[in-house]
Amino acid sequence: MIIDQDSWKRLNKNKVALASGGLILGLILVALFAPILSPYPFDEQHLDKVLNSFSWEHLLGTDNLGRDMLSRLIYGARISMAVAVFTAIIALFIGILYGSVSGWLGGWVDSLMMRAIDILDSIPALVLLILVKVFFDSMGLVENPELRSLLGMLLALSFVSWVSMARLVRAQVLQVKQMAYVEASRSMGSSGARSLVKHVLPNIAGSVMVLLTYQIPSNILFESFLSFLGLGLQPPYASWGVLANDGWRTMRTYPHLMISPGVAIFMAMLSFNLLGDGLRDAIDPKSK
Amino acid sequence: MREVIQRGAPIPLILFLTSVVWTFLGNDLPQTLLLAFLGSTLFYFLFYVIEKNMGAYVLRRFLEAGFTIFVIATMTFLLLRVIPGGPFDEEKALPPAVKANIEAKYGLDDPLWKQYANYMGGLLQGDLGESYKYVGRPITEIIGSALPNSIQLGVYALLVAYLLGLPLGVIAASRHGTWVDSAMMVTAISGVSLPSFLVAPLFVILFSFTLNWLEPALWMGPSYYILPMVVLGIRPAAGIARLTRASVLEVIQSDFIRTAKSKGLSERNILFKHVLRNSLIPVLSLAGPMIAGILTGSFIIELIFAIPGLAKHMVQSVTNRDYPLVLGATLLFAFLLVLANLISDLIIAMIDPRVKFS
Repeated sequence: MIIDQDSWKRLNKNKVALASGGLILGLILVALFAPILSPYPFDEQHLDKVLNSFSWEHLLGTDNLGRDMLSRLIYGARISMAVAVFTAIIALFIGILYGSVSGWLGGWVDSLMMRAIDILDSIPALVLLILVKVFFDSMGLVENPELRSLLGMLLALSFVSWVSMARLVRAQVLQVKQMAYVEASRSMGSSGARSLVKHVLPNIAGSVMVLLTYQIPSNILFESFLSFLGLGLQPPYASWGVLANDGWRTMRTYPHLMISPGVAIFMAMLSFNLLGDGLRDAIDPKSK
Repeated sequence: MREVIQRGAPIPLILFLTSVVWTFLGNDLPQTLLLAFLGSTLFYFLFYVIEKNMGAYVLRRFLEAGFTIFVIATMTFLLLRVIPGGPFDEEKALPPAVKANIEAKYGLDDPLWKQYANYMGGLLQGDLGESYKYVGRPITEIIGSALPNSIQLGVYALLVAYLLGLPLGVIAASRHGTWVDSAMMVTAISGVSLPSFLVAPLFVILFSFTLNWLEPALWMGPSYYILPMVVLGIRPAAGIARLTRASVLEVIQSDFIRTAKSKGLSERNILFKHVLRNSLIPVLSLAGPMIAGILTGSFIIELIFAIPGLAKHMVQSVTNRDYPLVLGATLLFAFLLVLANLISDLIIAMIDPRVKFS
């Protein structure tokens, strides 16, 4: 439905995109089955084996509390992926709602809604992230500190990323709503909302999906930025961003703490970007 | 007369690049150079505004920018006042009388509307208030001492991004489909996927600790500038390379290039005279988002390399609840971004003959 047959064929020929897709699938499986796959519990401390480098017992070494890095990385995949994917989904819903209302209604409603977006866009993403995160954290709406930092993260990231989704949806809706088939459905008496949902939205699903794929790596990046600023998740939970942030401070003496989360972040972002490129080329072959 | 003036259009650009090179070598920016740059820019700005009849457009854009800043100031002000816990809630509680006195000094016991009116009134006069934490220091002074470093870093990184990204993209496109193209695009997409906090430590270990070529931190001269500006420039450079390649490929396939080819013009001639000129416009119009990305990235870079810029103040002031400083920093960031977008839009409007104002 979202990808028509021709696009699917084009995507199938793109070996790089397929390989990235496979890697992402693997990553999702790792995240889902983290408890089965990880050799140790992620917060189990082996205080006799602190800061060990790579070994057979601990494949990726141990951190300063003797926790197994491989297990922390696997659980980190769970958190990083969950944050990135959920953020993208929240942004998708808000973006579709806002963008389609703005584009479909047009006129002064559209200009007003777009002005609001322009204003949000005038604050650099990281400044907005910090403000929203700090605001949510200090409002004290959620008791549990771990849950609070996770929710704050989701809120801040979605707050930043829904804007580009809304822009895209609006631009696409504006384009598609002038198509003959939409006009036809309107003239046959179907209501505005029905035409929008049945005829307009399915036809913009492709480009929405491309943007969604690109948003996940940028969410991973922003999540690690926040962790870097000390606004990330609470220990003992650790996303890849938290792990990399702990790692780079001791990079010279204990490089293994930096290397594994670094490679993980890089590979994940690369795969999503490559898959995004593949999807874009497949869905809209003109835009090379 | 008009043609003579038009010939001189690169003057602001030349002055700008001179200032960049001059400061990069570790010198202070001389007042005369800065004034010459600003003056010539203003002159050409006005010249093109009249020439292209875009006065109404420019006025509208300026008003919009002002309105945006106003809304952001209001929103941030309210946001910070709604957060529970004041700037003077310390771990060891102050005696109530002392706290009341401090709050009275900064007007925190006034009703909200009065605080807001005071703040906005000050803002109009360019007064951002006094810091709560750095006692007695006006915000404008704190920001003023940090801003030049941040701007320097941002401008250098932007130049690195364009100087690296443009040639990469053009070369990749002109060798479309060959291994050169693939290699460059793999490099570019890796660059997009590499967070700066991974590149920075790697570069520091390689170039400062192992090779001993460059300084690992601080901001005091050319050997300090190179690492941060390159690390900050890598991601936007990769983005520019990808966009340039796409843009050049699109132009190459267009009809007027086919005509040029069938006329028998040389490849080199076509590439430089026709393709590049036309494909640069989308790349330049990316400058706005590019600068937004650099602003965000500069946060991380400034913290990693301990550069005394705005990022430090932004992060610290938020945790300290130093409201005036948070507001000031946020507003300044928003102002820089609005200004960057405005400038890049105006440059597009000036150089793109297809954009017409009537």
